[in-house]
Amino acid sequence: MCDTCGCAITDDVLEEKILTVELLEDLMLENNRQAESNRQHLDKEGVFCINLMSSPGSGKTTLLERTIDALSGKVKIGVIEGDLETENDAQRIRAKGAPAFQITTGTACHLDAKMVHRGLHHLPLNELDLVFIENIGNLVCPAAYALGEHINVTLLAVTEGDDKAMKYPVIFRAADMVIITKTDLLPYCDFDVQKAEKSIKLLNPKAQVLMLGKGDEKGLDEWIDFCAKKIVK
Amino acid sequence: MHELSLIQGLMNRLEEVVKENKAKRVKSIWLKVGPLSGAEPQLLKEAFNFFSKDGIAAGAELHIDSPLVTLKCDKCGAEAQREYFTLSCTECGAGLPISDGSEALMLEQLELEME
Repeated sequence: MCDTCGCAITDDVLEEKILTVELLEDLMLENNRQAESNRQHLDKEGVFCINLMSSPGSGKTTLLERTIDALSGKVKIGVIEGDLETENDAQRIRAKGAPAFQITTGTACHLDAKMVHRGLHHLPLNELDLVFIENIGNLVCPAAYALGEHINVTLLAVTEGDDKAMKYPVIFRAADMVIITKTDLLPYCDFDVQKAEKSIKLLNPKAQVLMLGKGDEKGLDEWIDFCAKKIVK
Repeated sequence: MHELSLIQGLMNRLEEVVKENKAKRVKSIWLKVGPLSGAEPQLLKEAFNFFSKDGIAAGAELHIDSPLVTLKCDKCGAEAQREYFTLSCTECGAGLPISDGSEALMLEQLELEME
């Protein structure tokens, strides 16, 4: 019974004490903490880290193969591969002479900072200059997860269509650089380069946009130059 | 797709906060989920129902504030608030900048039931 007026309010309601806690913190706090620790680990070893994101089949692994070839003997590269299943991509990277660790997520649609942390321990970081994280092929979820990378690069193949930046804005907003790939297929695709570039710039004015295709040495040179300038060791 | 792991992360954080405050359980949770955050409020709620069947947040209420995107056209000055975002001004067709806060994914406030 209530002490003040004698009403029939039950004791447990009277005794219920509520504490309001204002947190105003990022929902990704746990992941972000781990990502920051990954970045510190990489910085300590003097390694620059690039997170590659795109839909499946837009040329991430091919870009890595060409990058390893072009920088062979100059820059030491390691790769963390993310896929739902198989070691295929890690094998392709190892065939080029670079160390690679394959993360298979089973059903998870993105890599997170914890998975990358485990992956980093499988790479000889003290011997490396540049680490690429090849994220799960997916234009949605990977954008939400910081991994400890220094920059994000998003790939968009001309076969995917010039409206993809508008349809999947989050991942193009997260990019420091967007590479439009498979430009050698432009004659066979209904892909308006200017339209694609305009929407990328509108979403993300700071993003650098680069064009790359099979046999395109100019585009590759620009990319290699960009990577080489990032080396801190 | 990643709403399940977001809620799993939230659950871990709730455990921490309950422990820090020596509380009994979580009564209410307030999230802010921007339209460009990459997470869907409805899917977050479903994931929360799944993970909060028992434990410290069983029966807790999840409130999700989904702010509208505020867009102001640079050219004609028209302002618009939308649940989704578009790239061009409906008044004059010019490109629209995207407001800050549209990527927010925040744990804003909790109500804890104390011992």
